[in-house]
Amino acid sequence: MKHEKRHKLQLFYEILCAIEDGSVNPKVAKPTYIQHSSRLSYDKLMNHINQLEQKGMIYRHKQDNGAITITKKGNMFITQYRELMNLIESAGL
Amino acid sequence: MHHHTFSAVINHPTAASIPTVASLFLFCLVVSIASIFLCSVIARYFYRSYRFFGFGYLLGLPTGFTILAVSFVFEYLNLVYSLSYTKESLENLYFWIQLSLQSEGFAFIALSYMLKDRVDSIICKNGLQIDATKIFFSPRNWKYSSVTTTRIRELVISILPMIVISIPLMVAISALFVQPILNDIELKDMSIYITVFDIIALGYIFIKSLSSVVKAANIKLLYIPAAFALLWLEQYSLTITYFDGSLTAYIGSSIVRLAGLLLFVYAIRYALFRTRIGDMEIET
Repeated sequence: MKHEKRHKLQLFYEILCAIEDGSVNPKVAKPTYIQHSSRLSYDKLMNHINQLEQKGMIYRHKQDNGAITITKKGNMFITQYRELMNLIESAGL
Repeated sequence: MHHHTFSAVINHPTAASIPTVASLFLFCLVVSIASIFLCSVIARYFYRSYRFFGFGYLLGLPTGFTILAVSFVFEYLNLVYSLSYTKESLENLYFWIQLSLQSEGFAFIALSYMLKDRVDSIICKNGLQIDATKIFFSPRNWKYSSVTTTRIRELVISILPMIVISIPLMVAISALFVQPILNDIELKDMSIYITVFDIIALGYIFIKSLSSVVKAANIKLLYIPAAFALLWLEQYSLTITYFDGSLTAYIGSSIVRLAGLLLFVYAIRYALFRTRIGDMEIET
């Protein structure tokens, strides 16, 4: 199956969406679920997760096998990405 | 704003036509100010999307709408000076600047769609995602094509955006160099060439935006192509005004333009609210 190369922002968005989808109470997602959902190799995923953590979009729990939670900034990124993607799609761009 | 139709009414007022002139002036003023405001709003939203995604080809839209907003400022100035009978040269100059800027604005919007096509074709060919700015005039992209015709085609595609951008500027500047003070007839002739250019540019934008929306198979995304269709109709009405000097066609063109810009803003609001409604549905 041929996959189109994804833009970095799209990867961030897909990782954040995977965290959102895989979150159970109390809103944490396991890295294995995120890896499966975002279709990335483990090394690449960890690289992106480190970047997202540096940007303050996610929070990694030290105790719970590195389970991940989205921060308020991460949620804002998801909303903004969807809004602006809708906008450029509606313009046919 | 079609300078000559308005000037014809305003420069030869009769006692009976004075209320008509006043209401026409007020109408044109409202249309100009509303157009400046609406274009600024549209430019602001598309600039946000450019800042967020960073794709070079997205910059054409905010640039185009900003230039359109500036062109409507000159339309407003042209209107104001058309009332002072002594400064006809200034009035003509503002009219000419407005026409050139308007075409430049449409050319920049068309450029966004042209560059989007090029990015898509290169992604399909190489399976890579490349920044639009990197492929602009890059000879390295030509080596992939083995056949000469493909190379020529790619060369034309590379040069075409530059030609589109430079036409309105070249025409405006050359006209001013050849004859710095243009008379009414020369202005009228020049304005029809520029209007024809606008019609072609808007036709291209309409087809491109429509084809992308049809591919997405969502009828609710038709607002922006419809808005471009209305702007096309405005230019078409202006050509009718050029041939028969019809005031109705002129007023119609202004209304159509305003409707087009309003529809654009509505489409933007709709696209943004669609996301929020979607989010609320997920939460519930």
